Amino acid sequence: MSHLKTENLTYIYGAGTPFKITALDNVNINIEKGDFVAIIGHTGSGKSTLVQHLNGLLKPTDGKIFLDGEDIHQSKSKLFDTRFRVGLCFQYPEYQLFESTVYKDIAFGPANMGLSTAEIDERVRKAAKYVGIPDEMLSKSPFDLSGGEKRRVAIAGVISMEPEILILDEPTSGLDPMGREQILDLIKNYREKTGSTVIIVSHSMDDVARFATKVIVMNDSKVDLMGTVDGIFENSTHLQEIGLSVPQITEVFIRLRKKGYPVSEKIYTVEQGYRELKRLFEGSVNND
Amino acid sequence: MAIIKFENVTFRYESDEEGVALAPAVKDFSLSIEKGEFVAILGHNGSGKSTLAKLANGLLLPEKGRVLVDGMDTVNEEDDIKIKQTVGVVFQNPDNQIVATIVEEDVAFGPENLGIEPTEIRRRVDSALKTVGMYEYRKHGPHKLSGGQKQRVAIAGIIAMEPRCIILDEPTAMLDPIGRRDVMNAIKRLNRDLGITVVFITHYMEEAVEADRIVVMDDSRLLMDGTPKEVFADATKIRSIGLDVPQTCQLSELLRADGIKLKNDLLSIDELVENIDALLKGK
Ligand SMILES: Nc1ncnc2c1ncn2[C@@H]1O[C@H](COP(=O)(O)OP(=O)(O)OP(=O)(O)O)[C@@H](O)[C@H]1O
Ligand SMILES: Nc1ncnc2c1ncn2[C@@H]1O[C@H](COP(=O)(O)OP(=O)(O)O)[C@@H](O)[C@H]1O
Ligand SMILES: [Mg+2]
Ligand SMILES: [Mg+2]
Repeated sequence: MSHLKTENLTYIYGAGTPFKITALDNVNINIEKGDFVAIIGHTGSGKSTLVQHLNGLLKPTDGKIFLDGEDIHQSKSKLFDTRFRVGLCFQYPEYQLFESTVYKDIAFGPANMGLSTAEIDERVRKAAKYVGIPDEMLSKSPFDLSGGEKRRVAIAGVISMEPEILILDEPTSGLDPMGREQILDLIKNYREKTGSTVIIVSHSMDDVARFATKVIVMNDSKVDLMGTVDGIFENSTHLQEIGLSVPQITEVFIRLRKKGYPVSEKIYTVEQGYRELKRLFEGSVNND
Repeated sequence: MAIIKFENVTFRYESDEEGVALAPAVKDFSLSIEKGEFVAILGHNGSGKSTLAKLANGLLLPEKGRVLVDGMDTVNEEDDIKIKQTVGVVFQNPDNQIVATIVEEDVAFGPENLGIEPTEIRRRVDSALKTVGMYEYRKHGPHKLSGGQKQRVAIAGIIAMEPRCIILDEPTAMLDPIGRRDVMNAIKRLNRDLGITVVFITHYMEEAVEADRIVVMDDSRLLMDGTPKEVFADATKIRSIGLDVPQTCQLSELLRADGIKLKNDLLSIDELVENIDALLKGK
């Protein structure tokens, strides 16, 4: 039985008005426990709409969502339970931050879960530390932060609930390179330590290649491809046609191959590229 | 004359709590941006980049020092409209900038306020929307667009005012790869073909390499100022302040450590591939 699954999920914004937009069209996805899923797709392809269904925030126009085999909309209590088990961090941190201080914002989730003040405090500090928010920032208003700082607070707010399924909508956009690494490492560690399932929406093909165990490609409200990193990025021409690309490093190897060098095109990260080029250079020395 | 000039600028936000002084967001900062330049600004989160953008068109005023826009001091209120007309800013969150209920009306808002005649507005709106690839959405409601689509509409709104300098604060943060490419191309066209000065704040190193000049902020101060090749040649320094070099440099760096004599300033895929090819053929 799959952990999280959608069945013929369709969602229409503005249904019944002249401006209706079908944001999800018959979407069927399947996520197993412990998966690290990356959802990619052009802007407007339906990624954010999809993830907002997975924790019950949006109600399908048609179709169903199953968590451990149970329809999340089968009852009020099931839906309530789903909201705690599936934590969602929004694409725009502004939509998530509303308290008067950073501390209260991060504490909001744990407080709603009915934890004690001491437990809440522990979780807030742990989550803040995790995402690199210094103590003195906890008393600041979240509205007085820089873009990247807001993003960190929003992520801390979700992590502090320690959800079983962690969903982050474009978590690294707006972060500086070190912050990007920190957050990705954090997500990776969180998953390894807790056995949680992680779903990220991302526009960074480089990051997707490094972390995902499963990739879902959205195109025009539909699931276009679903598979492993290898299985997805071998379709470089198709990906470009639908607004995406392959990782930068992959592009280097595609060009080298076109020039006639015997290199693999299945190279997605700097580390893999390094090993492949080393092989190429050493090979050329041996042939002398 | 420089189009934007910061002279020893210090700026501090006011704290919500009384009597608490916040640390300066920009400190003793001097920089001169010349007409026609394409400058990228890099820096860690909270280093002061967006604050610079707001200081550059008079939205914020310095506590110390001064900011000159085409020679006009931003503290002079009588020049405020001229200053905002000279320097257009596309902010980090496009949501706060959307004013109308139809995309094309939103883009027309700026030029209308400048008193441009209707046929010219029509031309500018269409051309700006085509530049950012949102022409097909001209009749849509902007609030219903996805993140990246909104961002492109916000950029079109500024382009349509035809300012002489455009500051873009992370305009590609929410875009898909092709969308990012489109926006970068649009920005380059504005700079090369129309001679508009571009100041471009980004966290993507591979976008920064497309600029003529990179300015690096660190903890409210200016740390580096040079060509992309100069700035990224010092990988250690760049990493020490939370940034990184482009992936092509990372790759050549690893190989150089093994004695493979690739150059240390291979900023693009083309340059890297050519250098590898040359080395292998040179055998
Ligand atoms: N309205 C505000 N009130 C108080 N402090 C602020 C306000 N806006 C920003 N700051 C602070 O000023 C500093 C500089 O912020 P700024 O927004 O200029 O950073 P940035 O370089 O643009 O960062 P990012 O890459 O995250 O967007 C940060 O420490 C931030 O917390
Ligand atoms: N609140 C909304 N009201 C109406 N339409 C919307 C709303 N949010 C998104 N849409 C539309 O739904 C489609 C999918 O959007 P979204 O899920 O945000 O895409 P993505 O996250 O992949 O960029 C787009 O056509 C977008 O314009
Ligand atoms: Mg989205
Ligand atoms: Mg900023």
